[in-house]
Amino acid sequence: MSTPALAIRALRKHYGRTVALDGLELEIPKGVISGFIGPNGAGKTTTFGIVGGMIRPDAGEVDILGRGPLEPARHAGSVTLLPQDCELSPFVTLRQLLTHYAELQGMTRADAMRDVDARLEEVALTDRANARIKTLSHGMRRRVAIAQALLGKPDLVLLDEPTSGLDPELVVRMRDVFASHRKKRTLVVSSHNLLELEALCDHVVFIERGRCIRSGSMAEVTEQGLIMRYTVERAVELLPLEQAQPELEMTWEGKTLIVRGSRGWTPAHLNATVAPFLLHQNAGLLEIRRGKSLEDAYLAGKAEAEGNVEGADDDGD
Amino acid sequence: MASRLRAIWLVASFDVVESLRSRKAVVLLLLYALGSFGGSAVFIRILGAIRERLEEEVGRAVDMKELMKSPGMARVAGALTGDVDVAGAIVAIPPMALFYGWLAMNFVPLLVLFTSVDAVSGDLSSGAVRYSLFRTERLSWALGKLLGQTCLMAVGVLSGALASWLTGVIWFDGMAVADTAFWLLRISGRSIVYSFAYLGMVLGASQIARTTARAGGLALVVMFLASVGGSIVQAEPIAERAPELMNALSKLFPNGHHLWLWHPGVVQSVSAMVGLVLIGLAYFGLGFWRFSRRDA
Repeated sequence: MSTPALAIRALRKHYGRTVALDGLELEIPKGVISGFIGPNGAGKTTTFGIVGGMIRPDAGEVDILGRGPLEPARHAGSVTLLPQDCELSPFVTLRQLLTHYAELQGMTRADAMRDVDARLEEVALTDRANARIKTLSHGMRRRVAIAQALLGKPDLVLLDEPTSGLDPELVVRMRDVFASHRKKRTLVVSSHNLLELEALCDHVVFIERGRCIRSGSMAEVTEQGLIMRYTVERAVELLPLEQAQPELEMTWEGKTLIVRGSRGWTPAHLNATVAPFLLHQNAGLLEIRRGKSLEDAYLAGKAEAEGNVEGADDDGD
Repeated sequence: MASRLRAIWLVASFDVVESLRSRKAVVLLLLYALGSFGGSAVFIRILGAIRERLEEEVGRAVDMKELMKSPGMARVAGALTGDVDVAGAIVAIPPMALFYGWLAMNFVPLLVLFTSVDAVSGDLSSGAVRYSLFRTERLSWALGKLLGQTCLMAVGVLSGALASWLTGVIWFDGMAVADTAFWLLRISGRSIVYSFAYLGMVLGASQIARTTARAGGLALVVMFLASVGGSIVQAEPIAERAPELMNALSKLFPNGHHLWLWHPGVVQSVSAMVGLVLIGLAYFGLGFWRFSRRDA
């Protein structure tokens, strides 16, 4: 098994009486774009802070790229971070700032300048390269912050709410930028926008109250291999299909039919069986979707975790 | 080691560029240079008045060098310093350079307080530090800040010296232009070393406090205590009771090295400089001890 890009074991951190991380355990494989999902206060930013060497953990281990916790000398430019809500130096120009960061992570001046030009192009700020940071809008500053996280050839990039404050067009553009780094490096993206993460990520981590409640590939977590969702104009009687295919598990959620296949079934096989039936029944087929939505998967994972906690509490009682 | 030195240099040079482009540092340095210019002009007028009074008394023209080397001036300097060697060295310094030395050593610590207090605390409170600390080690980053602020202070001290020299060239009749320039450079070097002790205090506070306001308050308190502490252990009634102990204790404070900075002996002046640098580094190190363990 290959070394994960990021492995976290029993990580704990508290601020006074507030527990931010409560024995967090997770592994993120190399080369994926991983969505780091959780509510406010779940511990996402603290985790990024600890991995990035900004925050000292109370206990636990962090292993980055199989080389232990972050040591700038040891990891030399292989880990970069986009922190949340941190100001950039307002008085220097974009080019000055990014060149400084690139040199600081070990690049030569010539390489740094070349890379800065490429990153500015990537985030569509080439025409503002010589503008001072303080003259930029919030969205532009956010793009500068994204650009600094993509400088050089980092193996692991941590992005904390990268698209907050960007307009929809730029959100799409930035998503394409992140997607273009797929397989070349590991990106861990924290966001509350589950639709955005669903479109971008191939791996997800759900975090809740400082613990990882579920993680895995997007296909696994959203059960894309086993579940199909058919949205129709009107719900129809399913008995004929149930009699013909007793191994299928079918339920209506409003006007969406959720079909779960057992082992051996593929999405194509499910479609070939269910779609003709719905068409034949004049259900008015509107949409076919693989798996659960990420939102549903997250809410299900959360409910399951809460159930476990309550169960444990009950046992304790 | 080479990569650490490179990182220190990169942080320092960026810090200087950032400080100068913020204009705050430029404004403060200009104010200091203007203060030096104005103070020097006032000093020249006072000096001229003293010379006129003296000329009236002796009934002939008095040369400034003659005035400085007169037994009366030597007695005054001896009484002020309490050290015959230092007094002799002081009266040999051109008056403009001597005045600038006094000005720099009294005001550069305050200049340092205003220009450097946000060097670390500003980045901590804005979060800007988070863009750097995964790229370089905290020690390299903090030392880079120290080097950058030292360079900025050196620019300030030298610009003040230039302002003082220009004032002399314009208004001080009979000033030894080259000799004064040479001494101004020497005294600027000593002033930079003297102020480094205070820069260490300011950057120490800047690493401990999370906001600039708190860092400023802390630095002011530390500077005040260091100044008062140095004066107490050197005060005659106390120093007389245990001269050796008090003399040793005085070396823990910047003003305990003040006198020897002017000493003509190489051993004394170098040991004063080393002591001041060590004091600065000690305070800086104390701040770094906290900074290296804190959440950024």
